[in-house]
This record gives sequence, structure tokens and C-alpha cells, in this order.
Amino acid sequence: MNKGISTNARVGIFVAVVLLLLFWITFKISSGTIFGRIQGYTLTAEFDNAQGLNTKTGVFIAGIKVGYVEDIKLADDKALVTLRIIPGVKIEDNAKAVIRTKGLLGEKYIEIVPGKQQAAALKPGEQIIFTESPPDLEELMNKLNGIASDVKSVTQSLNDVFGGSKGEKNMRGMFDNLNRTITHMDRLITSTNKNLNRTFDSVNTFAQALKEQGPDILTNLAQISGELHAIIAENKQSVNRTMENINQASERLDKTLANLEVITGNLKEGKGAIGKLLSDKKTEQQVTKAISGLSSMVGGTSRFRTIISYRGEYQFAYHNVKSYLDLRLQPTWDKYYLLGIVDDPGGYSSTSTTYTTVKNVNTGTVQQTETVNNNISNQLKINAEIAKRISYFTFRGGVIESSGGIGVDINAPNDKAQLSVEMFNFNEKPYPELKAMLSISILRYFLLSGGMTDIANRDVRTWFMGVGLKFDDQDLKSIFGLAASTTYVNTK
Amino acid sequence: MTFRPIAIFEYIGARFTTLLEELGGIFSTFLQSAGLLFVPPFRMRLFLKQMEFVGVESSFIVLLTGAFTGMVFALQTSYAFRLFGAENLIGPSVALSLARELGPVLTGLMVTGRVGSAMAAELGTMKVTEQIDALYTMSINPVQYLITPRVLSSIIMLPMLTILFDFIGIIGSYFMAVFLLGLNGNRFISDTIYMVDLKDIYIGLLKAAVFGAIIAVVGCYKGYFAEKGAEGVGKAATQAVVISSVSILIADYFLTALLF
Repeated sequence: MNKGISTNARVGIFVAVVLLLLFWITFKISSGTIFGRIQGYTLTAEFDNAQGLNTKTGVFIAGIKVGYVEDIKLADDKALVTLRIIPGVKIEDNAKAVIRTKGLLGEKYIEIVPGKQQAAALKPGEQIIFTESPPDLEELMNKLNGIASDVKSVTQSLNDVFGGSKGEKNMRGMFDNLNRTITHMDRLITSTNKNLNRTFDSVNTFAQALKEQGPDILTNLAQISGELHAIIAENKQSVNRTMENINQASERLDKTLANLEVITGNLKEGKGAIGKLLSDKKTEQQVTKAISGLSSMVGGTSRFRTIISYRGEYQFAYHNVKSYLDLRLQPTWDKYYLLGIVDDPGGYSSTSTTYTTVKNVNTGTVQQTETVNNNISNQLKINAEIAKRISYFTFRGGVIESSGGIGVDINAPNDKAQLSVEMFNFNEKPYPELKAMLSISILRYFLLSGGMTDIANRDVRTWFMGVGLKFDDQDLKSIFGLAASTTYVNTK
Repeated sequence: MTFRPIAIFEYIGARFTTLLEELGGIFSTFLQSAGLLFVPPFRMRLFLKQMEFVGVESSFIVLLTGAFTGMVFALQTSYAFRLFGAENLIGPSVALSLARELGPVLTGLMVTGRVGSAMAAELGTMKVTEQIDALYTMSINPVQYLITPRVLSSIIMLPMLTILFDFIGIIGSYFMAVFLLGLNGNRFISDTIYMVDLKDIYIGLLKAAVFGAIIAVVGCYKGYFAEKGAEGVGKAATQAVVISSVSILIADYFLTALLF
């Protein structure tokens, strides 16, 4: 009134301003709703665990809020959540609703992860089928508990191995062994030391002797040189004569040489029979041919491939190992000679009969008992074979395991694998020994083999598995070269 | 004077009957004024004048207290929320507490100090100077003439002042958070809008309306029944402020428990 504004106006302005504020705040807070009428459409989603979700919990796609949780209900032991999505946002039916945690305080929100493929948009009121609930903390703890108990059982078993009286015993045994080894080494070193000491002692003694008798030796030497001097002085005349003779001889030699010079000159010009022979072109060609023939022969020998191989075969029926050491000389690719020794633990079988005679003192009768011993003993056998290769087949024959035999090898195209069959020892057993073997070479130097020996004789046949080593002459050269150099270093 | 143990109970009983008398008087005053609202004559001018007095003239003090309350609240909560990196909760917590409690209660207390005491003093003076008796002799219902406009305008104006308080308080906290604490302004607003529900604000306004009724009824009752003399007027004003302040806080508790 005093400012020229009526009471009515002042109250009116106040009320208008405040109501405008109230309207604005209301509109801001209920964004998406206009005067209580809710905008947007609803979708539902079923979660196993809706813990932490509230009405008004936000729904996000790619971090942008697209709606909120309108309602949470219990439906068949699951949480049925109604989501209010703002209009214009389409959610496809392969999308996944995931409850996620925001921030440290564990505030939850729902993230809608769109599916990878394009799909039809969900209509209002439909359900999002794919959902993911947050992992239950309790469940996680249980899992961790399980892991912890596993770890515990591992440490427990470790404890059982190392701890306890048994473990202690094992450990003690180990230490005892170690102790014994060290003692042995100690003793060895001590004894070596003793030998060395003895050697030094002898050297010392020798030096001592030299020191004692040194002056005598020197006087002897002086005597000898004096005598030598006297002899030379006595024979001065005769020495002079000798020198003269030598002089004459050299003169004669000179003459001879001059003659020789004449002769060679003649030869060079083709004078005389020998000269003709030497200067003839035909002779030269013949000599060249002869030399090249010789060199090809020598070269051929040097091109010999030498292969040394060792093979051990474990025989399953007898639990023993049969070893082969072979030297293969291969002049050409399709031909080789093989020389080898075989160490066969069951190679030699003998039968010995022992007769024991016991004389009974009381009755005076003589009783004789007979004992038959079957001995199987180790035997070294020899291999000596000639082999000829025709394409993939190699035929060989000769002495196999100290008896006559033949064999055939079938090679794989790259020679990495080989199937061989051999037959030998035609006399001793009911059937000849038949052996089939498949061998594969690995990493150039190694062989793996397996097969069956003595197939025809049912009682004694056995499966075997083998491993072996194989060296070429190139490899051997490098190995021996290395060995030689090491020896050299050692002797120096 | 001999000591009589019964005197203690006599004292307690006297106080209790006085309290009941007071409550009954206040309640009957409210009922009378409310009933007379629908009885003609309707005096719009008196009503508008009271609206101006209670609302328009209180707006400055409400804006001032609201702004500083919001600012200090933002500052205080930031200390706590910084500890576990939840600074984005400053806006929502300030807005929620302003809308639910601080807005209505502080507005009510401010208006009690300014309006409630004035009403008691004004009516007390009229009573002492027998102006009320004069109104009666002029066949004007003094309750309808004096109390009804005051109660109604308070009931209407308190929520409006609360809206002002909330608004200025949130703006104050926004300035505090964004310009002094360096938070993101858009984040502050969106988090606040996200967390605050319309229900929070409307229940706060309902509380404010109840507080308005308490302030006006207590002030008018104390003034209307003031005792003789200037001393009686002063006593009426003081008692009006004390009783309505305490009543506001007690009513706030019950309203919160009932409505939220």
C-alpha cells in the first residue's frame, strides 16, 4: 500500500510465484510424467535375486538412463520386476537385463545389454527373457571356502609327505645317503691326495739327489770335453785330408750335373727313345686318364657313407633288453654292407645234467640222483649282411645273429619309417626265427621301434619295444673332432 | 508452614488440569474458527491482509534462513561423504532432508517467532483494551472476525513458505557443491531429481500446513485469553512462541511416523 501496490496484488504475486515454483519442481522430479499420468511403456523381467533393487532404480542402456523400476513383485520364487521405459526407446527381444552394482556402497541398477543380432523390438507389457542376477555374496564366500579347503588338503598331503614320523624317516634316509656320498668323496680325495703327495715326494728326492751329485757330474762333463779337444788336435792331419777328398768329390759331382743338364735338354727336345716317349701327346693323355681313374677310386671310397647305430629292444615276455650295435658301410644309395654285434641276454641256452652219488654208510647201498639244469645265458652274436635296395624295398641277406638269414625292409617314401621282416636261425628251433619290426626315426638321431620276435615259435615269441641312436659319418666326424680337441686340451 | 506430602500431587494435578484446559481451549478455538469459516459474512479483506502478513512479509526471512541452511548442510554432508567417495549423494541428501524435515520445521519455527508472537500480542492488546468486548457489543463474532482469517491464512501460507525454503535451500546447496566443493553441476541436479520423490515434497507441505494451523491457533488463543495488563500481553506472546515451537517439534515426530 505504501509502495503503491495493494495487499491483493502483493498476495497474488507471492502465491503465483510460489505455485510456479511448486509446479516447476513437480515437473522436474516427475520427469516423464505429466500431471501424474505416466509416460512410456512397461516391460517385465524375472530375476532370481532382486536384492538391492528398489522402485525408481534406474534402467540403463550403454550408460544412458532409459527408464526405471516401477514395481517389484514375488512370482513363483522369483522376482518379477516391472520396468518403465521412456517412449521412443526400443528394446529388442534378444536383449539381456543384468543387475549391476554402481559405486562402493553397492547401489544397484539394471543394465540392458542389447543382443548381437538385429531382432524384433519388444512390445509394451512383454517380458525380457534373458536376465542375470548379481552373484550372491554368500555363494561367493562358499566357493572361496571350497577353494580354501582344496588348498588346505594340498598342504595337508605335503605335510604328510614331509612331516610326520614317516616323512622324517625319509628325509633322514636322504640325508644319510648324502652324508655317505660325501664321506666317500672325501675319502677318494684324501687317497688321491696321498698319491700326489707321494709323487711330489719322489720329485723332491730326485731334486735332492741332483743337488748332491751335481758338482760331480759337472766335473765329468769338463773331463769329457777336454778329452775331445785332445783327440781333435791329434787328428788334425787326417781331418785336413778328408776335407780335400770332399772337395774332389764335389768337383766330380759338378761334372755329372753338367752332363745331366745336357741329357735333360735332349729329352726336352724329344731326342733319344726316352725323350720321344716323354714328349709324346698320347703318353700324356694316357697318364692323365690313369691318374683320374685313380682319383675317382679314392674319391669313391671317401664318399662311403658310414652309419653307426645302436638299438636296445625291451622284450616284454622276458623283461630284458637285447642290444644291437651296427656299422653300416654304404658306397652307393642302393647298396650297403652291415657289420654288427648283438648282445642277447637269452641268446644261449644250455642244458646241464648233474649226477650226485650218495653212499649210505649204514646199508652200504649207493644212491644216484640226477639234476637237470636249464641255463639261459648271455651271448654275443654277429651280424654281417649285404643289402640291395630297389625303390622302396631293401633286400638283405647274410649272417643274422650268428646264423644264416634273409630279410626285407619296406621304406616309407621319406625314409622316416621302415617296416622290416627277417628270418634266420633255421636249425635250432622247430620253426626259423621270424622277426617283424616297425621303426620310426625321430629328430634325425633317434629311433623308435616295436614289433615281435620269433613269431613262428609260440612258446618263446615276444613283443618288444625299442629305442635307438643313429649317427652318420658327418655326425661322427664332428663328434670325434670335438673329442680330439678336448683330448688335446687335456694333455696340454 | 508444615510440609504436606500431598502438596506435590496437588501441584502435579493442578499443572495437569491446566495443561488439559489449555489443550482443550486451543482445540476448541481451532474448531470454532474452522466452523465459522463456512458461516457468512466472509471477510476477504481481513483474510488477504493476514495472508500478506503471514506469507509475503515472512518470505524474506524464510529465503535467508533457507539459503544458509542448504549451504551449511551441503558443506557438512560433504565432509562425511568425501570419506567414502560418495559425493554424488550430497545433492540428494540435502534435497531429501530439506523437503521432508528441515523445510517445514524451520519455516514453522521462523514463522512462529515472527507471526505467532505478533498474533498473541495483537489479540492480547485488543483483549486488554477491551476492543474484543467492543466487537462483541457490535454483534461481530470476535472469533470469526479475528481468529478465522489468521488460522486459514497460516494454513495456506506455511506450505508456500516451505516451498520457498526448499527451493532456495537446494539452490544454496547447489552453489556450495558446484562452486566451492567442485562437483559436477549436471550430475548434482540429475542425482537430486533421481533420488527425490514428489511424495517427499507433498508430505513436507502437508506438515507445513499442520504447523501453520498450530502457530495461528496457539497465538490467537494465547492473545484472546490474555490476562489483564501489559504484563499479561507479554506473557501471552512468550507462551505462544514456546508452546507452538514445542508443539511443532512434537507434531513433526508424529506426522513423520504416520505419513512416511
